[in-house]
Amino acid sequence: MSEHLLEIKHLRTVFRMREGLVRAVDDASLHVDEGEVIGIVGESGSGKSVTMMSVLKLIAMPPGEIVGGEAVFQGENILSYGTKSSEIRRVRGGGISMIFQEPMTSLNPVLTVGQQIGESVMLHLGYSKAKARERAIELLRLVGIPDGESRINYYPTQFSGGMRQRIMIAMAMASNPKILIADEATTALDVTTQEQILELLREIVKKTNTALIIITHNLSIVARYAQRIYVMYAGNIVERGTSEEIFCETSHPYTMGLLKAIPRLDSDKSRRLVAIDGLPPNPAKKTGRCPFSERCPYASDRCSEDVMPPYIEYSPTHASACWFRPGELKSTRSDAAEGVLSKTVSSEAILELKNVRKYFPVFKGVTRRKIADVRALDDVSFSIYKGETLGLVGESGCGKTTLAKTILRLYDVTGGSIIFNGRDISRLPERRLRDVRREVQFIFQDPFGSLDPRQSAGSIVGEAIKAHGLAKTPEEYTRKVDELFRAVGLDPALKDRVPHEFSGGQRQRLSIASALSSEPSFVICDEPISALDVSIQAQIINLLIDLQAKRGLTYLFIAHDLSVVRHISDRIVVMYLGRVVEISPWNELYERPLHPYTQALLSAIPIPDPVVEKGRVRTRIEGEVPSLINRPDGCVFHPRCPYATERCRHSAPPLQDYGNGHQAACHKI
Amino acid sequence: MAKYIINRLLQTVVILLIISVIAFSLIHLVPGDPVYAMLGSEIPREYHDQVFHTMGLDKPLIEQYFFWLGNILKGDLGYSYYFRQSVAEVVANRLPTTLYLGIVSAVFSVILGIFFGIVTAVRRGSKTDSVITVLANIGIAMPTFWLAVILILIFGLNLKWLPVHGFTLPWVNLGLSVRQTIMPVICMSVGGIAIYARQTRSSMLEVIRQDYIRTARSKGLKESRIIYGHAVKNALIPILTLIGLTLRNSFGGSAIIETIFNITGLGQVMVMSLNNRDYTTLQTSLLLLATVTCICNLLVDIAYAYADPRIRLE
Ligand SMILES: Nc1ncnc2c1ncn2[C@@H]1O[C@H](COP(=O)(O)OP(=O)(O)OP(=O)(O)O)[C@@H](O)[C@H]1O
Ligand code: SF4
Ligand code: SF4
Ligand SMILES: [Mg+2]
Repeated sequence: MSEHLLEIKHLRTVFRMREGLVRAVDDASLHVDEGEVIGIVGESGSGKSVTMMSVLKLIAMPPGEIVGGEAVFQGENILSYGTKSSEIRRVRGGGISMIFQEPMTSLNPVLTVGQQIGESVMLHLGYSKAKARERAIELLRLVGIPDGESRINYYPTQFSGGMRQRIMIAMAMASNPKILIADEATTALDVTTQEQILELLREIVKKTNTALIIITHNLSIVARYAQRIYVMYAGNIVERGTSEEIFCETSHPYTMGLLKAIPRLDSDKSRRLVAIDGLPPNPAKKTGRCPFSERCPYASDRCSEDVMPPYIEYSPTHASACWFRPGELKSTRSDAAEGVLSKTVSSEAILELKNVRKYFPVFKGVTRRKIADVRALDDVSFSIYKGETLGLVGESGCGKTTLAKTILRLYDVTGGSIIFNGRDISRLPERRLRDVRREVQFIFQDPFGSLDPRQSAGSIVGEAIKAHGLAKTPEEYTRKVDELFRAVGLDPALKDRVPHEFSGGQRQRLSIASALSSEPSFVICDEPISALDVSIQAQIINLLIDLQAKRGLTYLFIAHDLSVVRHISDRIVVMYLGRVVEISPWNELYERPLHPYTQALLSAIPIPDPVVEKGRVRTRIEGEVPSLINRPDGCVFHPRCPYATERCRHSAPPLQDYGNGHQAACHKI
Repeated sequence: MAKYIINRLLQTVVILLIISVIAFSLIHLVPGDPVYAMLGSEIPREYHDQVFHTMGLDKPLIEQYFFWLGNILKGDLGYSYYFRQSVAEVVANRLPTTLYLGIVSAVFSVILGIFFGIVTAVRRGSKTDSVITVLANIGIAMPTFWLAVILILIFGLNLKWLPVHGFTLPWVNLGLSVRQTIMPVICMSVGGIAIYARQTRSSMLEVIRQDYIRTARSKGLKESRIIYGHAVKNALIPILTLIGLTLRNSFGGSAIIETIFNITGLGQVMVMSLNNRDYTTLQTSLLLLATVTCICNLLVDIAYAYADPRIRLE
């Protein structure tokens, strides 16, 4: 057998919890070779992090325990080292480095970045303090941070999220490791920043011949960057293969399910997302059989035997842990309601925004003197037509949530008008907003934070029915609540539970039911799925689409994920730093993006298909979204725009129509 | 940072002014004529009028306040009819004693408390942890005078190891000074040690869970370096704010301790002047103690801002 750089064999890690034994990693085997880029994908809780953390013995012990397997790194089984032994410490950071998800919290706030990078260099390379400092400056340059000499004395708070992640990379690379593990390293970042960081990682590992392990829940990312992929589900590696094999010769029903559940930037929209039914299994109640069997549409008698299906090897690199080959799979469930329900969009606007402005004053000093305005929304104008879904995308700080809250009149408007059903509501006093509040409802991102933890599910949903007197009798009330539960796919028997007894996806269903209870005509969905797992996201998207068709709802759908927005929307508004930069019908956005920012945003998003990915021509932009306080003059995008001219620096381009309802604000077009 | 300091300075001045108003009004809160209240009603009329005038009591209230404050700022702290010397003299002899005791016990509280806090956090769940935690809980719950009485009974009267009263500054007679300060300092710092230990422990446990500790661990650092190089610094930031509080408590507690151990400090002066209705001395001592506390708080806050780059760089 050939020697791999790192080979994990039959790793088993458990957590002994009060509710039982959690088999977080259950017989996982994988390997990585020198200079290779591999991906580990799976949903939250599938054991991706625990696998790699176990290798470095970084899991909390107790309650965690590595109960079996080995990890051979450069010929030695590193799992045999003690948790605090000097041998394992030499591997940590020296041989294998890790980058973590949260750039905001993963760096020590009271040490300078120089100290934090230098520390690794001194420890693993035995450099002197002065030499370590030099190396740190060099590393900062390597990760694209100029002026290392001065910035080395900065503290992490003085850097933006993307910059901090670069610093994390510098730190991880400080001691010339053989393997770099990026655990959801870009999940918390903006789309364009995410792309920059991933490209940086790819370049660095190529230059230094380091192996890179990308851990992510995002299939598209591994499609773009990984050579080989491991798909994890409930602690098992259910499929492994080269990127082409995973995406083009998909063999495991779970991988197939994932691929059908995510919307793609380039896909045909009439394709309904195929959600994976049910929920990931509770890891404390794991059985010996195929972990996917409860949700698998192809499950047959054999799958319920208490034996883990063995790997079927399709090629030396490709294997899948399923009893069946793809050709032998027979669906045991009827795929009802496959087509997309049709809906009608009227030409009558339900909501019109005209030059809506929302400024937040900035105060400073003892006297709380107002020194400036933050222009969170600047001259935002667009209309939403009855029955349509208008998608709103943009990176952090572009004003998406501010816009939602302004429309809901949770904020006062600074200027402009908001016309709802022909009536200007922008300045109506609170008491006259009652019927508007009934008509306009919202669903927020965090399905937990937005629900009262002490209230029962039934009363959360019924609250608005009572408040607006929509039920005349108690029987009618109960009937309406039950109906709403069923409409969002929840069992009315769960009415007495409180929110924390529901899963994330169920909670989001609950908040949808509660939003619908006042029988609104217009619903604002602010990042309604971004806190959910991939397989659950599709369920919620499908639910929203169905509810719209059945109830004739109009949606303003806000998200940072352009593929999701494109999938659900009829028209899309792209915002950048408080301004609308482009409005486009959904089908034109991908084929004919007009604004340079939209182009960059689109090309930053990977497509879950390595073949398509390789053929893509991408526009890449530099820098990160600036803070609203330092908003650039002229075109707000000019510091990052590859086409910026002198004119762009001084005059702000107006939104212009380019036919077919496609508008953009750029001087270049 | 400079802005922050100026800001805090201004705040301190405002607080001191407010305290001065309170201390000033004290004399007017006493029922009846302050002079008779102070000197007894048997004194001759002329003497009364003379004192009444020297104290400026015949002027309008506002003027009196500024007169009083002005005098204090000029260094004229008034005359104590009880101690029969100027208040400045009364205070000058006693303030160093109180400051010395307060600062020494604060230093002990901080150092020992933080030490125990770190130890218990690092060995969470061990026997050491449970023993120290129980002791800390007792320390917090136990009243100071109670502890003082027990210590005096055991070490002073029974074993006769330590003197039960008096105080000498260390530069006067080191040996005696140490022996005399042991019990008062223990009494004054037990509560502080307990509070610091508890706070440091929970602060450390909080910090140890943070992502950056995981990062430090993934770098392959030694456990000791992770604790002292990465965790402690962060854990101590919230503890710093407590130091101001401790100083206030030590100075405040000095009244009880000084009385019990018969130490001629400012605390004792306050008790004596209160008992003997020497309001001039009381007013001044209060103001003085408040000023010292405020200045300590100010220094602590500046240290706090300095320790936390997130504030320093604002
Ligand atoms: N410290 C811990 N104590 C108890 N259980 C844990 C601990 N860490 C992880 N687990 C459990 O181990 C399982 C796998 O977790 P892991 O963090 O590896 O998932 P993941 O695939 O990385 O998910 P995510 O995408 O959310 O990061 C989960 O069921 C989790 O609840
Ligand atoms: S073994 Fe059975 S249940 Fe598991 S994935 Fe294959 S077909 Fe589905
Ligand atoms: S106006 Fe200029 S800077 Fe702005 S997007 Fe167009 S070309 Fe770029
Ligand atoms: Mg993880």
